[in-house]
Amino acid sequence: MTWLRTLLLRLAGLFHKDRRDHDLAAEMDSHLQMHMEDNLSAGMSAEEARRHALIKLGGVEQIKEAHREQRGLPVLETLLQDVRYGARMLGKNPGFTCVAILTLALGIGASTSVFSLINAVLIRSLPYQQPERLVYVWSPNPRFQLPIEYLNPMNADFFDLQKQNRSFESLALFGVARFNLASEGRADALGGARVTGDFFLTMGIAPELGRPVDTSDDQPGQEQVAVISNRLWRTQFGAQPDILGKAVLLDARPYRIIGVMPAGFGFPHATDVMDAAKVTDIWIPWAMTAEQKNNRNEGAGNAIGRLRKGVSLKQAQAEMSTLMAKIDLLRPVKDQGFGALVIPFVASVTGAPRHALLLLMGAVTLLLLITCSNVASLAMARATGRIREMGVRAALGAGRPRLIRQLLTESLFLATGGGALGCWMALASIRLLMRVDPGTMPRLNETSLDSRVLFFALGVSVLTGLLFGLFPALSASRSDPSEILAHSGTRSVQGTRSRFRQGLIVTQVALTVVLLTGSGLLIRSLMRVQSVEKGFEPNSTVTMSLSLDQRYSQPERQIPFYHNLIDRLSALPAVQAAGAVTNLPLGHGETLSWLTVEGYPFDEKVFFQTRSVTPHYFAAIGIRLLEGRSFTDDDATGRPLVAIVNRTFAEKYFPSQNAFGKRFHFIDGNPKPAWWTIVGVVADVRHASLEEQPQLQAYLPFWQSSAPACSIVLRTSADPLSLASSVRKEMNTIDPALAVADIRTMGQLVSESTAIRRFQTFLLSVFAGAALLLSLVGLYALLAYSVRQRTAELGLRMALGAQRRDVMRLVISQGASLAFAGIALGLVSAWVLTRLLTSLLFEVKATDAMTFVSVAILFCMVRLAACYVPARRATRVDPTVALHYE
Amino acid sequence: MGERADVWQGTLALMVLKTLQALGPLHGYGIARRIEQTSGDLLAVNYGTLYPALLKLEQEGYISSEWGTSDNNRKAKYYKLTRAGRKQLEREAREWEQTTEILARFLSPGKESA
Repeated sequence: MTWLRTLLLRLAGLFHKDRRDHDLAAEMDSHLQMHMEDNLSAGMSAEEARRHALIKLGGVEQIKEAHREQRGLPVLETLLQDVRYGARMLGKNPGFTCVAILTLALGIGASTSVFSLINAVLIRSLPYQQPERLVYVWSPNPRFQLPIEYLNPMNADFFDLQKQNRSFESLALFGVARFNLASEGRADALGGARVTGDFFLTMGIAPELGRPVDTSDDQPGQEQVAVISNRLWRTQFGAQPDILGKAVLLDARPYRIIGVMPAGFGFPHATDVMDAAKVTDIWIPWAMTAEQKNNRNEGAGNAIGRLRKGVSLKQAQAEMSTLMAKIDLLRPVKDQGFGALVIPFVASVTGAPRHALLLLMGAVTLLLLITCSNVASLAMARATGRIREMGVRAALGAGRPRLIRQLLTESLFLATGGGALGCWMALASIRLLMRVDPGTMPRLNETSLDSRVLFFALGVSVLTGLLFGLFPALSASRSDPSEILAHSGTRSVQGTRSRFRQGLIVTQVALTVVLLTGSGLLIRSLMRVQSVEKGFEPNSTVTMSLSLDQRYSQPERQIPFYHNLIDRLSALPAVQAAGAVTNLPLGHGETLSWLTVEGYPFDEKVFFQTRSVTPHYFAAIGIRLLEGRSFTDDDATGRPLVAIVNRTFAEKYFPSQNAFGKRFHFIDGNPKPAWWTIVGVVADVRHASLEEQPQLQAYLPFWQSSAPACSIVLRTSADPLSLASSVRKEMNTIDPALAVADIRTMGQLVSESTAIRRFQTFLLSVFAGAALLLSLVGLYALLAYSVRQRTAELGLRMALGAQRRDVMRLVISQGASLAFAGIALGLVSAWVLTRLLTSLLFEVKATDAMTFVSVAILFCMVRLAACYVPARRATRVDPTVALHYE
Repeated sequence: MGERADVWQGTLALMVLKTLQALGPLHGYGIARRIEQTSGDLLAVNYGTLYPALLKLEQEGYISSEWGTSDNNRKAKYYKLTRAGRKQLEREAREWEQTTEILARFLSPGKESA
């Protein structure tokens, strides 16, 4: 530990220099006096005594120097000296310093904020114990081409897997649900989940209070218990510590609260599985009956498992496939074909945003490179101006390493300043990003500047400092003092240095063109998406969701309830039309059905999006009726079954004929299927996403096929929020135990559905804009500097009769050739690189000519602006002054 | 005066520690004089080199310093051995003895080690 003590003391020795010097001087003095006294008493004369003492002591200055070196840290002191000197030099040149620091702050700030997003969404580990051991188990069937989230394992299959597997520590099912939580005369609709007993064990998370749902709870008769989220505990129950054991009414049934989860746990989220609420607040046991457990045709829940320690994904997959191959044989031959697919949990949480974020990181890296080359180019311009200084220092004995160190210290100094400002910018921009949070990127809201991000920022700062500092430092320190000092004035030397700078400018322009092209393509895609034919009219449409409880399990109870509700809502003064639908467009829920259309063979690869709607649904949401009639209240139970189909449906099955009167039936295992007769055709609706082509769609009358949960759609002229409170009042009058949730306008749903795209496009455009600004500054600085360097030459030209026009042309053409080279290089690189964007583009080709041409034109205009000012300045050169200058 | 050897750094530290152990708290001049005297004036201490060495020992925690008054009423900085210094002295003295012993065996004729 001696070395540590010494280091600390020597660090301390860097301070209070005066006091320490004074102390040493006093000590020397007392030493001399004592020595002289001894000498005197030995019989020397005063003069001699003093001389001897001084000789014996040696050079006082050398002692002081040696003492100082021992006292502090010489290396650090030289560094501090460099920093002080650097700061002074930078302070003398505030223009350069400001531009350089701001440029660096922009680059470092942008990359730090993107990194902080990546850190929050991709790197920071999930709040579950060893999340890398968590996996989803899906059960795909090659017979159906369905997205993975539709592939829940069939109940009986799941329980067989649970019993037979050896790969999993535990395997659980969870199903998303909505609950009406009744308290004090009002009800709230909350996101919830039914979970089997192993769920919390599998997730690897324990409650903060009480106990989780466990295997003693998921038995019929034992299931009236609930675990609630920390959020719910705080908002609804005032964080009472004695909450455990309290009873709550969920969907009008009593449940006993047995546990409160820690803050931040809300799995499943809307981003995790289909149909889930934004966060889950209530977990209740899933007590399936024996009949449900043995059902091999229904997969009601998502399966999640925790791998045993040491079991790899591959091993688990192999075992699941083998087991499923046997289990599949337990069902009738015609239904067989189900397999097993094990997907890592972490990858499915971070999979979707990964592409988007890596794209942004790529863009921000380009921006950072532009930043570096820009500052390097500025620093080189400045270094050329400092050739004399370097020459003098070299002549006075500074070695090349010393000069390089000095210059690098300056760049690191700038980079640190830029980095600090950049962190501040990142902090500000993170706040801004939260506002444009698409809500569909998991954990984006947890973005913050933690130590990892700060470390990243530091690393980037140092790296940029070295990157932009090294070339100027190497080139400036190469100067030969005798040559430099021989020339007294500045000259226009078009040497390697300026060629290097020109190379930097060309690179900058090229990188900027790449970024501009990328963002141009995304902007065009966004415009295409936003102008796409949605099929409904989102303006002035308010929607909300509603979920009935088991008191309404029979259609005979549901239909009167809905009739009553819709009638009351239609009677509200602000409401022009009111309707109900089972799945809202863009509402992340979809019912896919198999249909057989009369006259066509059944095709199990074709699915139909089916919805039940009340008569005024089409009017409320603004779907145009193209042919036939809409539903009426007469299309009720006991009346002939009728249906309305969309244009795609009609055109596929009844081309050049009238769809009116044609029939189809559902494939639901019923040997004597019920035929539904088509009475109308409506416009195509983009139900799943604005970017997906309209599918085959069929609508059934709500009064003939009602459902325990639906969305209410109101066409209104009123403010959605004020309307919400009157809707709540109506609901409360009908049944105080029920609540509406998710009150949103259709406009909001549309906007949410394009949020990730807007988020990406917005960020990429901001980066491209910043790049444009930077390369503009870079080009401007180069030309302005070169005009200054060539003052003498320009003056001479003008003295010899060159016109202003000629001088202007000279300067502009210098800028133009660089810019053109950069644009050409950039367009070629963009041609190659934009292919990476293909999956993010919508109805725009990666090599869209329009975008490429606009970028080139935009850049040419900007370039002209950058060249104009220095060119104007060049024409103002006064020949006499210019020639005196030399 | 004759030929006199210069003191090298490592041994100087050892000598300082030994001097302080023998004489108790002492100022720089006193230490320098004592070293010269003990060596029988065979060593020439450049008094100045002593001070950085004292500072180093102090930084290492082997000695501590304090301003005090000398016998003839002069202000002087007194150095004294610390507990760590005592241990360090023992250690270094042992090492030094070992070194000299090895060297002695090495240099003495006819007594070559097996």
